[in-house]
Amino acid sequence: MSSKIEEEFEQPPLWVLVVMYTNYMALYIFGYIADFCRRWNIGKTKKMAQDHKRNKGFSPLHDEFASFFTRNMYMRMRDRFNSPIQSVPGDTFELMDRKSDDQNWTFYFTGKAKKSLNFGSYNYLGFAENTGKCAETAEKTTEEMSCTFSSPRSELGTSKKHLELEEIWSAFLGVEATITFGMGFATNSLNIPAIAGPSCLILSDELNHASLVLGIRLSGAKTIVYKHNDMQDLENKIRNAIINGQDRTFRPYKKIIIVVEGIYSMEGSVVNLPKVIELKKKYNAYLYLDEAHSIGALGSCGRGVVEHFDCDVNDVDIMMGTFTKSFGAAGGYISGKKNIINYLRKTSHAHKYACSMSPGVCEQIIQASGAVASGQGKRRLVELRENALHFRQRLKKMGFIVFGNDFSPVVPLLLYVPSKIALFGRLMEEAGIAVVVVGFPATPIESSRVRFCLSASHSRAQIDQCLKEIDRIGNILQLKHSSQRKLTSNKS
Amino acid sequence: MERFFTLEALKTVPYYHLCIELILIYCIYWLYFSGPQRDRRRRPELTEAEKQKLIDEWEPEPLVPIVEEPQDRIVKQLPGSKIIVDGDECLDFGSFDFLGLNKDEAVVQSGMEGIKDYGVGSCGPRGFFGTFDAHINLEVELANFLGVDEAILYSYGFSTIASAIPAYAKKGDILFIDEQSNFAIQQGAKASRSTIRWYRHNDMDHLKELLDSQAAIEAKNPKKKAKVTRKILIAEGIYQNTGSIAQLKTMVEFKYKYQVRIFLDESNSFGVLGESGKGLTEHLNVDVLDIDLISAETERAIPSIGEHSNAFDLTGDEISPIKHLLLTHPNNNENLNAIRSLVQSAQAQGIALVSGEKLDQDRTCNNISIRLTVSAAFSEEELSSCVDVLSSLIKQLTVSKSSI
Ligand SMILES: Cc1ncc(COP(=O)(O)O)c(C=O)c1O
Repeated sequence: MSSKIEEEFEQPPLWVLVVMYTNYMALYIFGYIADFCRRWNIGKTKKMAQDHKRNKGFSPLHDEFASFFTRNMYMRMRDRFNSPIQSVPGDTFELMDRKSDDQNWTFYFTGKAKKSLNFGSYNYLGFAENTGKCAETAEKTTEEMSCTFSSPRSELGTSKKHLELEEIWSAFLGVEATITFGMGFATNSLNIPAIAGPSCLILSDELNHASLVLGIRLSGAKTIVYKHNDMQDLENKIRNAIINGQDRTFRPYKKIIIVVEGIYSMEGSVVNLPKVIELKKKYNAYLYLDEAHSIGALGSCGRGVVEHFDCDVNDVDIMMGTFTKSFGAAGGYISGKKNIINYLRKTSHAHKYACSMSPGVCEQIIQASGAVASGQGKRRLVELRENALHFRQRLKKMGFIVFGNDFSPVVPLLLYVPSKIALFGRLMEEAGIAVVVVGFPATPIESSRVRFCLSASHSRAQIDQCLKEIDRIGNILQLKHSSQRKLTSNKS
Repeated sequence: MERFFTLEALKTVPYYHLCIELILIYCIYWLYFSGPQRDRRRRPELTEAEKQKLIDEWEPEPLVPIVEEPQDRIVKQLPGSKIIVDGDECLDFGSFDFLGLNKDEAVVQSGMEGIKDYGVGSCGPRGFFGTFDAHINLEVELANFLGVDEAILYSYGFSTIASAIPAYAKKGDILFIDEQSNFAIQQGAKASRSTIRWYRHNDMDHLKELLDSQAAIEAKNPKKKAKVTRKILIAEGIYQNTGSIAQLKTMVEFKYKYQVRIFLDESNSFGVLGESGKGLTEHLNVDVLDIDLISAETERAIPSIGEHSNAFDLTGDEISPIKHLLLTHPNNNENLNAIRSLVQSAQAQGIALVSGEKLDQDRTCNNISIRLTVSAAFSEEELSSCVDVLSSLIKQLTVSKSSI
């Protein structure tokens, strides 16, 4: 097995890039032709989205490039996104069948649904269930305590359940205190401004999630972005920042915060935590760790990336994470030293202004984290680990370019050429497998990809069926670009 | 023509002319290169040792200041309009459950059925298999109910308007926002990086002034206006911070006159105002299609109470379910404590209130008040008991008039 920090980002052969750019060029040219036709009402081209008639003369709501992109590129593969389902997102789900008669501008439902294998949900530990202990107790709690308190935590929204959850979670992570919020995204975007302000410096990984980026922007702190997981770059930037001080005034920064994620969900990479902690200590910086995808998915007891690397939780100043993924619930938490959490209870925007977590959701997390700590949960962890590794290694053997770390339950497979994004998704759907395909702007323009999320609830047979289909479709679409396959097959 | 491009040309120009040009060129050179050089003189290249010294000497502030542990009140809900707060049984005048639907049997039942059908979590964003048929049905129903084109659901009330604003407004756009807007609107506006013009609370003349001055700026530069600058007017149906109602009619008038779009946050008025609860548009008889975007947080209801005293101003329109007892005296620690102790004693007498304390980052942090929210679940007696308790407490209250 490879070392824990080993990560792969293989470059494709040159001809793939040439094909890709030609493809973009063609899309661009046809986009212009389509726009021309729309303008002069030629053919059946669907009209562009229009402002209400009453708003004539108003400045347009969207800028020109963004809407050109939406009209001419996004619309072509719009059927790949927001696909509705009508069941629990477990190992399989019921995908609702929808059709469009106007080139994806509007959809209608045929009323049919198709049972599909689910390789798209972040259901790492398989807690997305509507039966069993978790769901039943959550239901009972809802009956007892209703759906919501209609009030923020700091006003009249705190109940015993919330406090119980926070206590259990602190014990689970081995930290002093925890504060929880009703949404993971808002946990980042509404708490970073409480901690950092102008005259602070935030060093942020270039691939950090939008919620972190928004929080950093709202905080008003100076932001320096470093290359993804590049520790040398991070160190250089910290050094320079301390030496040069703030822009214009040259005064030293008040505090420096490094913001990283545990698992980067688009890249399937794992943060190099030991090195980050080393740097943080060396330069007296603080560390904000977002474990949205790694909590429950990494570590022998599911305690996330800190346990995975055998680091000390006390070295991470702010442990943030969400319950949305591994625990099949909703909401987010921040854990750390008691004083930090007390301070957040006083100053966090979400604690003060946003409604508290639903009691049923609290119960689901309490039950799920209890299950993870027990023997049954350990089995889920082992299954997830084995499933992810098996899946990733089989893909590599087949010759696909796969990004990321062997330990990550998210496996991105690179497609490169934009028109293959939609086609890959559609062929997979026909074969009864639901996957997430992503392209620009969610990824850099030259690395469109398909992303598989493995789960403990997948059986080996399901995984092998998925691999078989990938192999078949990969041959049709010519996706096996990896040079490593040739090397290994030459050797053997 | 050719002559100008040859050396011949140089010979024909007068000698002094060449001198002046050379001097000018030198001046440009000097201006161009001397600026940064002077800067460099101020920040000379440091040696490695000096750099290391700077790094060793750098001492950060603590991540957060030391604070004492705040105590959030622990609440248990009882049937009807009652709750237990820290062991005291109280009437709930603090939460936003205007329609009293929280404890409604049918609502709770359908919540439980939701878990039976879908489990608790969605395990993904809307884009990646996090959209359920239940979401779509609700969106369609909401849109039909309001009579608008489409509706979208967000999973967190605070984030709704806070992310809808930056979705449309970008750098360079202009937002006209009421000064007393809630914090979510303030954060959304900040995230959009647009230029913000604050108008005085519900003051349409001031708004008009600002719109006029913007129109004057645009008149000077007509090209820019038509192409890029979006203007958006952001208001709340019922202001959470004051309880007053927005003057939507005038705003719609301004909308067409000045070509501004209107975003309306109906968090406190949706389900509350109007014959069928469609919100402020229905209440004021404004065509919903005249409003560009409507957002709302939860559902609420109508009745109203009133109480005046010399230390407080009661704000909040008659019909609004949110009332604020606004301290007319300055915001200082003494008064803040007075308010806190009032809330405490009201709780001991069976009325759960909320002191409208704000965070320091909130623009409206200077008015301190007691917030009363009224629910449809209250009976006449319960309302009058609240009024009695409040008036006796307020009489006992001494407020300091000095400002710190
Ligand atoms: C790194 C990271 N942080 C935060 C979030 C937001 O979590 P939630 O979906 O609970 O809002 C996500 C979700 O995708 C994430 O990937």
